[in-house]
Amino acid sequence: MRRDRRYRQLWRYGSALMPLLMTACYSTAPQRQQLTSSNPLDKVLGAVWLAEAGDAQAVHSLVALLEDHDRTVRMYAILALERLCGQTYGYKYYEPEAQRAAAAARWREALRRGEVRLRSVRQVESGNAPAGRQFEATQPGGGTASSEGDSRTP
Amino acid sequence: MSEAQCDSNALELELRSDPRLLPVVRKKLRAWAAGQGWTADQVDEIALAVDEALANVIRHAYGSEHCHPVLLTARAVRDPQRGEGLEIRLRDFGKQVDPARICGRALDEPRPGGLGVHLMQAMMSSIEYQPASGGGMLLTMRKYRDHVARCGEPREGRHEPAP
Amino acid sequence: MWPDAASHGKVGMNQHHDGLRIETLAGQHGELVRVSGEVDLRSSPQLRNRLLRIAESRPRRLILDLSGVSYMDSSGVGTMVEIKRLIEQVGGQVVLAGLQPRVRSVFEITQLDRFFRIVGSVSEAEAR
Repeated sequence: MRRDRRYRQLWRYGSALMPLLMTACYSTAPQRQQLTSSNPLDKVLGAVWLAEAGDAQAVHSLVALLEDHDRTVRMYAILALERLCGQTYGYKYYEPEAQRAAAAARWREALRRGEVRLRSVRQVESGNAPAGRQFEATQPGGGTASSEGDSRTP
Repeated sequence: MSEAQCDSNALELELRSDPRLLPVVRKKLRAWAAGQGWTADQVDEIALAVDEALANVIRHAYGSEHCHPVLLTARAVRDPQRGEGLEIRLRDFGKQVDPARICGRALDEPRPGGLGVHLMQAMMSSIEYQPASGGGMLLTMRKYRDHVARCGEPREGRHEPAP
Repeated sequence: MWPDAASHGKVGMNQHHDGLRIETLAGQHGELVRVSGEVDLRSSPQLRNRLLRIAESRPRRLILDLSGVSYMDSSGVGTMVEIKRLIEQVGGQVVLAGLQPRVRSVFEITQLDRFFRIVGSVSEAEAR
């Protein structure tokens, strides 16, 4: 009985620590910092990596890059946002500045309203959502749903 | 790897998630696409898109393990609006696991893997991922004869000068 | 395989891995690495490891002769980008030479060509 209680305590503490540990070994802070580099290649690579990592915290910084003066940076920023959120809000990186600014404003408004969701929900092995993170599935075409399993973001 | 040709317009390959098969698959796909009348450039584009898709399956669906099944089918299609084209399907049986649950993932080695998806989008007219019944994913890629490989720009403005 | 110290001027180091051949030669203008074959998920780790070792020596200039590369996918392009960043961080320079059209188009479509110095040949790279 004492042993069972001890194991339950260890499990409880361990579970509480797990998100912290996973954050520690899965930190994307350096890549997010790259998005503010003066080197466009750093920004490009940061965007690619963060999209690959499915980093929700990068979305705001990526939206800021939609108005970068560098065309390639803008292209990878919208590609990353599309991968992360399944949305472009009509942004095209090659359009004139006025149209880009309007689309970037739509992104910021959507963020302000809390309408932007991370794209993929993965069916974790245990069937439970990862501790400490909120995801919603987006269906192809942009709606939201609570179903499990969505397109795998490669 | 085993191969079946259902009819003269289709190719079916049963693969393993082994990167050593990538050159073999590219070669077979190139031969098939060339036989379907695609241009040399388009054949290259098709091979690259499939290569990138397979690499993604190997890395993401199967965690770079080399012993898992992948099914590839390629067939000619016709769309009422776009005309003639081809459709390539890639079916894997990998678990859909949230990568956030995998500790110590590849960000320690900065490999920009997301470039592959961009290339696939550029090379093909459409790509679509769907969860497959029974687990894993089904990737469907289509390319039509009038498709020009580009990075999302309008055809007439393929490479505008950088600002 | 280690370089032969008795050779004059240039030394050669060869690695062959299932169709990808990597030769390194030390020239007057820095390191020259000649790559031949197809660069994909199977072979790019080998290339990456080799180039990382070269980057550790902080070459003033690294010329990558890719004239013999008939195919390169995103893993290869990613390797090129990674090596370029590493070498430039310590004040070096990377030049890509002799890209075949199929390989060049991969750089162009990813719009990463603009971040590289790309020349038509090794002699052109060494001339500057």
